[in-house]
Amino acid sequence: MALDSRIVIHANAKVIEMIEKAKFLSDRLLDQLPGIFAVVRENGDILRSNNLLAALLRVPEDQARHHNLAELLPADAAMQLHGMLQDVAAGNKQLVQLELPLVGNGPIYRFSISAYGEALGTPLITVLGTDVTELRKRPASV
Amino acid sequence: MSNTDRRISNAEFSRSIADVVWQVSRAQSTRSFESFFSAPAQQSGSLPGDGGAVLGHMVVAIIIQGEGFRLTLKAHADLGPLREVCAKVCGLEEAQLDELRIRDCVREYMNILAGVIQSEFSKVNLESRLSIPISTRGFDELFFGRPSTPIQYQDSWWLNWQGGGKMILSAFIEFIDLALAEPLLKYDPNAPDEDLFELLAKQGG
Repeated sequence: MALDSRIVIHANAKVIEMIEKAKFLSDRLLDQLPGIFAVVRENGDILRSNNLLAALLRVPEDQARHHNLAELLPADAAMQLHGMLQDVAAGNKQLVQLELPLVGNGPIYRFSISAYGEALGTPLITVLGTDVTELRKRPASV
Repeated sequence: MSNTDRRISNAEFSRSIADVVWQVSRAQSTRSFESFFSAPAQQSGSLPGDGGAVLGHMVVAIIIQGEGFRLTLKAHADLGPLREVCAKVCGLEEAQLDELRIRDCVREYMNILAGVIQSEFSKVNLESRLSIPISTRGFDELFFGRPSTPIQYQDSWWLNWQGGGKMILSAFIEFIDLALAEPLLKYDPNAPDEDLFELLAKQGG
């Protein structure tokens, strides 16, 4: 093999290695966010999750994509979430925020739902969740 | 021959070459797995063409590029089932394994698999080059653009190993020039392996 093509292969490998590492680090950043991060389908099926979401679902980190976001919520809250996901998917709303309690009198999360993009002909939706339980416990005067 | 006839015969012709590629890929995926991970493995079933849904937590891809074709091999897997076999390869306890090491193991496996397939292709004098294996999240599969070459086929299968572990392997073949890929039709899976020193001499190594 000619020396110049070896240099090109080495340079390509270096560039790919750098891109791969940058991608890995940004993925890890999302994984370790202190709040919920997920990309879901219109029906709430999880396609990408982070560590906190997997912990709340009580599954290993690589298994959350087999679950639905609604599993976190009591039935009535799940209905609300479902409606919001459909609104964003249909393009009726750009961003929706709502506070919902997790299942079994769990913590209260503020969910921010927005469009992520489109793949395979279906809209994908980003869901961010912040624990606001302590905030809601404080007296209104404070 | 009319244009339609030519298209049909081209489709049959390319499909028969694709069949050979898949036969090689499937057979070597099991053998390479067994020799790299030292665990008995077997294939099962095929997956429906789902157009790129998320098939595993991570995906490792490698490209074998020949003059007339491009073969993209992918391993889609969750981390859990790989822990035991990867720990054995790394000589570590399962608890000591992080995601990065598991990815490295699968990357190395795919590198070996692609190398073996390349060597099988060279038995029919079909030269090819390998990319380096790339590892990313399974989620990114959703956004991998489909190449625009006119003739392309995909095959996917499960690879199961002892202890209940499994991963999905896929082989995506695109033909750039069918005539250049034609030697693959002469491939004989039962042909004896070439002597390593002869192979190195042929490659100028």
